[in-house]
Amino acid sequence: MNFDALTDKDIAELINLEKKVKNPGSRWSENRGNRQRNYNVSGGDFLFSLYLRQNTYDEQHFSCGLIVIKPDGQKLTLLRYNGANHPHGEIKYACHIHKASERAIRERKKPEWYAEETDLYHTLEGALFQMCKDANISGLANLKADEPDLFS
Amino acid sequence: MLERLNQEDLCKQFCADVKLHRRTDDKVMLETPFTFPDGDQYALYLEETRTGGIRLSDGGTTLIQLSYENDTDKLFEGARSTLFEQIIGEQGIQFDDNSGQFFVETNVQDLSKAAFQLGQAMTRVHDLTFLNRSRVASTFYDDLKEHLCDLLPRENVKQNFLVPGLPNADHYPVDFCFEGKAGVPVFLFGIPNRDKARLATICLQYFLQNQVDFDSVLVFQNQEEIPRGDLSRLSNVGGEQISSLNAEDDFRRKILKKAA
Repeated sequence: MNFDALTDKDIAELINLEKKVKNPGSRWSENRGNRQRNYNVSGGDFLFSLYLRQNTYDEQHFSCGLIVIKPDGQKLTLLRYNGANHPHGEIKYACHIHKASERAIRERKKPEWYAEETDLYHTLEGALFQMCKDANISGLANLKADEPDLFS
Repeated sequence: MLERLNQEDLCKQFCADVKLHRRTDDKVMLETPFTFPDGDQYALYLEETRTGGIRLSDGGTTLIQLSYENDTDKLFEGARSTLFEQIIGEQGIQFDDNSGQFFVETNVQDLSKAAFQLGQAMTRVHDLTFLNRSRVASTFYDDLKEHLCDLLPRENVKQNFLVPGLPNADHYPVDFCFEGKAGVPVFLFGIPNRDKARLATICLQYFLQNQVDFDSVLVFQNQEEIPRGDLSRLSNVGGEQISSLNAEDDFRRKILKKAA
């Protein structure tokens, strides 16, 4: 796989690859207003990192991301499930999913520049459930989907 | 064109991109066109202060955004810490170490100025990631190539050279190769950090084990930053050393002495 010129097919392959969390007991840490938890994930010949971030000031500011570690050690974000605390282009203060794309790479933007609005989750816990489902990640217990948000 | 531009139209254009967003949980957000490199717009929070002013803050979002792909503790150490403090001072903002928030305390009349101050500061803090080791290493190789091609014909400098006939040669690439005296190739390795020092040691040992006929040059980004043990092992297998790209006279003399 040529990480300098990833295609949408490559990206889909990385996302769909069967993956497993290697350190499910990873603990939360809190530092400067940011609760965070990082998991090491393996799949095929690749190493990934799954991270959770929760802002302690604003509950709506959370992120759940999946990074692939490139052969040169640099990180490339494949997916990030964001909360609703900020706009992203036409998406105004709604949860949205960033996904790496060939288009963004070709346009010399950050690979995960493009995002789509979603109502599949509205909390960090729900975002983690959805990401594990979408990116074929196993190894974490007690994942729970969000109930539909009746107030949005 | 410029004579048709008037202050009122300009103000309307700026205002079109700036909006207030009142949330159901009573938080008030200021929407601006400022964005992070991934296209997410800055989350700017407005709060009333006890003294009747306004506190405009990033709510800690900048550090969280940075934490996705970086170790944010490094912002508070060494050279990055100096730059961090400099940004805060120059932009006239404040940083709360407990909450991780950048903020400006202002009043309604000066809110737009405060938004520019804070926005510019957030951008500058985010750009400190350009100092990441992998990115700095990448620019080091660019600089090394330029230095080399200033001395040797560009067509004679082969980058990421694979030794012909060597088993698994693609696992042991040479950063730069050029023709040396008496037809012996010169393998040049750039050493920006400890990891690369170890990798270069492995490559050079492998070449020696396989009786490859070569001469070598090691160019460090900063030799003093390489731990003694790693440097010692590398010195045992490598040839001529140049302590940094700043040692320009040494670089010129040692490269020209080796080159055909």
